[in-house]
Amino acid sequence: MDKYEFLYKLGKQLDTQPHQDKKEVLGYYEELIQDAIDSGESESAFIDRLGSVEKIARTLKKDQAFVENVKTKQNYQLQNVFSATVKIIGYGLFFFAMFVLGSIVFSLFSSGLSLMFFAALRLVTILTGGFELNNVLMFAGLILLGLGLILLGWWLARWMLKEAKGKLEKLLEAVQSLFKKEGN
Amino acid sequence: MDAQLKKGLLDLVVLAVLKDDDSYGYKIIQDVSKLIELSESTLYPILKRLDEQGLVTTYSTEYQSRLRKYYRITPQGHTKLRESETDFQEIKRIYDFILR
Repeated sequence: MDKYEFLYKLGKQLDTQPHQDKKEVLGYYEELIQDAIDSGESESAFIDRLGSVEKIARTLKKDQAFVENVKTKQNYQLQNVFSATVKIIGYGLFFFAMFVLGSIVFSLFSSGLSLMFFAALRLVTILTGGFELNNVLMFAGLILLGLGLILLGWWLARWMLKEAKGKLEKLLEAVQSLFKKEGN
Repeated sequence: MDAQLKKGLLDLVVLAVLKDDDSYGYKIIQDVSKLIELSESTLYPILKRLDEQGLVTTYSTEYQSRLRKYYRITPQGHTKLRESETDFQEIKRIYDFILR
């Protein structure tokens, strides 16, 4: 590999870096290679010795992350604890809302059931007594209404269970990360 | 040498190389390598760090119709080297204990 190929490949690896950093790194390596050539070293042998461009880029990024971390470590930890706390409060509100919804679901079920039961009873007495179409239709309608309420409750309950399961897992994660951060 | 130990020493060695004369990447590596192994990709972050800490400054000078970046030790850099002597005395006492 010659100088230009090496610098081109290294540049590709550093495309995610800020422009100034990339320029500096490429300048550093270009100067090194040129100085090596000028002192009589073989271009390709020197470039081989530099190692793969992937490894160079990796080392560089690791070091940068390290410098950034040291700079912002304090803020970083605080931020994490803060965001975890907010998350947990958020989930608290979520489960409170779920509790309210749950009560609504329960009342939907129970009123649906009692409505059906009541309407069915009345229907039986009407059918065994004098047959009156108006009343039959009314109580049959009430039975259907009760059934509708139960189905609505059933649908809501299923949706809640699905949501709550996902949220519960995330909540556990948030709690865990909070304790991990504080433990550090 | 143990990697952790080496990491701590390399910054000081690079500073020490610059103590008497300004230098540039390729030459710094040659000078340091006589003493302790230093790869090209390791030197870059060290120089960057020393620069950010104000222990060295840089300037570019033309050499054979191209620019070469030179590193010069600052007064703070000299102070850092002097301070390392105290560290060294302490490390020496610790090693005397380890190797007793």
